[in-house]
Amino acid sequence: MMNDENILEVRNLNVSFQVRGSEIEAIHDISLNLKKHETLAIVGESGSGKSVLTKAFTGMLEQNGRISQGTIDYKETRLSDLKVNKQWDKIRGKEIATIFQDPMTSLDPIHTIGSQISEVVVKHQKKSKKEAKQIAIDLMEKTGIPNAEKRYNEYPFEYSGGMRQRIVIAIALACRPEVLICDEPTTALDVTIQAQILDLIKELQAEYKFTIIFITHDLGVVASIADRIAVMYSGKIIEIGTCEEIFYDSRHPYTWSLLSSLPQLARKGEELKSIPGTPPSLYKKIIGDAFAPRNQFAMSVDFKAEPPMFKVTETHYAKTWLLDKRAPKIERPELIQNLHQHMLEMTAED
Amino acid sequence: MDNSNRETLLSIRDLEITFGTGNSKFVAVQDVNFDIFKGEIFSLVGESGSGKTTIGRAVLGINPTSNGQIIFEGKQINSKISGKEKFDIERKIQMIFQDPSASLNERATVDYIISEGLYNYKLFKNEEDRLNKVKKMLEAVGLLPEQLYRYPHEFSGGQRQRIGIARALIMNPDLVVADEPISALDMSIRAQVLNLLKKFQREQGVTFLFVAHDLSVVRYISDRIAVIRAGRILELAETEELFNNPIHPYTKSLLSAIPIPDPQIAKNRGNIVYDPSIHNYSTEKPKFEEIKPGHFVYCNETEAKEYKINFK
Amino acid sequence: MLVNINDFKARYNWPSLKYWFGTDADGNSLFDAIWAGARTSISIGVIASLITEVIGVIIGSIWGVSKKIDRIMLEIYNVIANVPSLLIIIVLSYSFGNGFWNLIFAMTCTSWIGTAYFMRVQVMIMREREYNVASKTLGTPMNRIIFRNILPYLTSVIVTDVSMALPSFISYEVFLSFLGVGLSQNVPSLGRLISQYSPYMTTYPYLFWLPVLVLALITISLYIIGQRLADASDPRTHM
Repeated sequence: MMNDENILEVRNLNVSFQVRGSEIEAIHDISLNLKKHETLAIVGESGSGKSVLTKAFTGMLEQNGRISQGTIDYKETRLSDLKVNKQWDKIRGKEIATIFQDPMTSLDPIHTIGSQISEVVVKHQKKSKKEAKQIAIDLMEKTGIPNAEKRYNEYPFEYSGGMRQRIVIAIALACRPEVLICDEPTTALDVTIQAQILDLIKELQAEYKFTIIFITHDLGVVASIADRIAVMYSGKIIEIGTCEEIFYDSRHPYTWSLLSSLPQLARKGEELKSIPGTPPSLYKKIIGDAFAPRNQFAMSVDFKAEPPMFKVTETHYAKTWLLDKRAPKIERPELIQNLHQHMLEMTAED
Repeated sequence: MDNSNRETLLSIRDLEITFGTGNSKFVAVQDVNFDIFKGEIFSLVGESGSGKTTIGRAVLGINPTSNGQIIFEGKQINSKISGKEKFDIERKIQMIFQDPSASLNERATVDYIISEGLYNYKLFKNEEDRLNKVKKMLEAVGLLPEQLYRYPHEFSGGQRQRIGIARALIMNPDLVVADEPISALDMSIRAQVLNLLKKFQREQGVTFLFVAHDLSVVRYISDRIAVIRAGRILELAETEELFNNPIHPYTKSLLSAIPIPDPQIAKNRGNIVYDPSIHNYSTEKPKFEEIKPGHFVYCNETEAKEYKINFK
Repeated sequence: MLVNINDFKARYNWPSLKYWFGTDADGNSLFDAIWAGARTSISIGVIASLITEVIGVIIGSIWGVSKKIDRIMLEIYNVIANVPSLLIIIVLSYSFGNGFWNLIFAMTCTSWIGTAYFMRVQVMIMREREYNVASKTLGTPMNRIIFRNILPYLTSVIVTDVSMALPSFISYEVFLSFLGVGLSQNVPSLGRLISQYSPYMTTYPYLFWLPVLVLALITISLYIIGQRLADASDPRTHM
């Protein structure tokens, strides 16, 4: 039975893909709880499996992909058992909506913006056409579209990238979803627009009380929006904790590297911290800790056995042998030890 | 830093670039003025549609200019020049492209891609010499000599960008235009590429025109920064000066939009939204004014006076 | 040839072990006739396609990069493309007279322009790609950009184009021979066989259908081979 606090529960999930006759695992043994009304950020590089994971939540895995093990539960529904599209239609969009990186993929270029929103309102909220139009215009205003009434009749190409993303958010909201998956919603946008869209998502969450899964490769972006952060590497969650725990008290060397390579932390005259090498190929079988070859703190055990999830606090877990009792005590890199102090100084200067 | 006795490598004077003709004429860049000094990394920062890439491409002669001058090593290069001169300049100014997958020839080996410029300019004595140069370059950008005969699709995005850097820098250029070279890359790979560019600047004295849309990235890498919006440069200053004392409201809004990797600060911070209508340029025309030594802002007389009082 | 002309038993034999495809009114083995005919038809198809493609690719590549040539060539193309190609071939083969090479000449005289136009469009699409801009900034001259950057990308579309041109030339030959123009009377070809045996479609159906079947098999196999070659010429398909 599902815990009342949770809206989505993932247990020991494996997702694999059939590629050229062999099966590769994109998600390996992931367990995760999504609490009601929280914002969970999933951070990882391309190929880490972060998008695959959320596609599994909405039944949008590619043809050659399947859940090979484990369960996904959403409220009373076992999502991992759903097979046909008809079953998914009750969940997708209605209960769990997704916003993608490129807003054009979700917009129809030959219909007006307004008609695309009101169509969804008619379908999901059972309103008349006239009511739907008013709701659509309200939504456009809510998502920060100026002159909503006039722009209702415009086409997607007449909107800028940031405005289109606002419309995609408006369409997602029209279904009144419980969970909103934001798949790199700001990566293609300019920095000032990115900041506005992040603010918008936060405001709307406060008003509509939905739960957010925010996927990104940029750890810097999530500090302002996330309640909890899960860091993924090579198909596994390697660290999960509250936003504060990840930024101020991270335990996994990969999280350390991600943090220290942020250009915002760079110091004049010093080399920018970078992670050597590239993420492992999914085609190769990994023995031990997948991050070990790129890890400057790797111990011999890292190349032999996969570390378990060690508990740091009630909310904070990390998958690294460094947390084992027998491991030597290793200090976090100096750059991120006093991150808060450092950032205070940096921002005070401005 | 005193800039008066530094050697200027590239000067842009009153540059204007337009696309289309007649009704569909569109001014992408106007009244752009700046100098790039030898050996520095000069960053041009702006949002999409600001004209930053257009300027970078005009320097390479890919985009034609409609007015103004681009002066490289004391010679105007955007006017009619002889074929030989043009060929010479093409070697001296190289480019690193934004998208490493689109800008590499997928049907050619890494060996050919990196040697392409060497072949065109016969920059080697014999086959052995060429191979040595290519291998040395591969090593310099952090790739392995045994990867020489592979094709681009066998590499990751970060590695492809290294190939793109290698083919530009093997030409021994004086100026490299880097057009958002890291925006298509993953976060952890970005730092590797930035360090690489910095290394070439430090060790070989290569000058860079670095085009970016993100101020946080350029703070680490650049010596001076110009902020561009809607085809005009609004502010130009040395990096730390720009970050510590931004003058133009647009620069302030760009700075406020940099994501802060610290939850306590980030959650309590507001964005400054730039509103262009605060400027009243109907009676008093604006121009590029030096508010402090080396710190230029696009403003009119009244604003300049105000800025000079507020930012001493 | 004609060894069985007086042997009535050898006439109109249905396909058997001795005569795999049976015999015709003169007692000739249909298998031998098809063998010889197919050789002619395939030769015509291969030679005509090669000529068309070589001329078309060379002219099309230049056409695609030069603005001056583009203006002239577009005019020529508009004139020729508006006349049905079959009509041109019929008129030309009438005026050149019958014969193997005459037919090939008639077929390729204008067909290359279609390929050239196709290449022009392909080259125009490719030349704006970022990696060609990159080559330009490295000082690479246009002819090398065409040869090293553009044509290698187009091999698969060129091979596909050949694999479509081949069967269409074969069917032109069949059609012309059916009408009685093109090849001389004494040259065996699939078209000539089909035309010659079409009266037997109901009485001795094998005489008509076997050449048609062979024609179909040749066309389909050439097409499949072409598609496979096109895939194989793309390095991204072999990891």
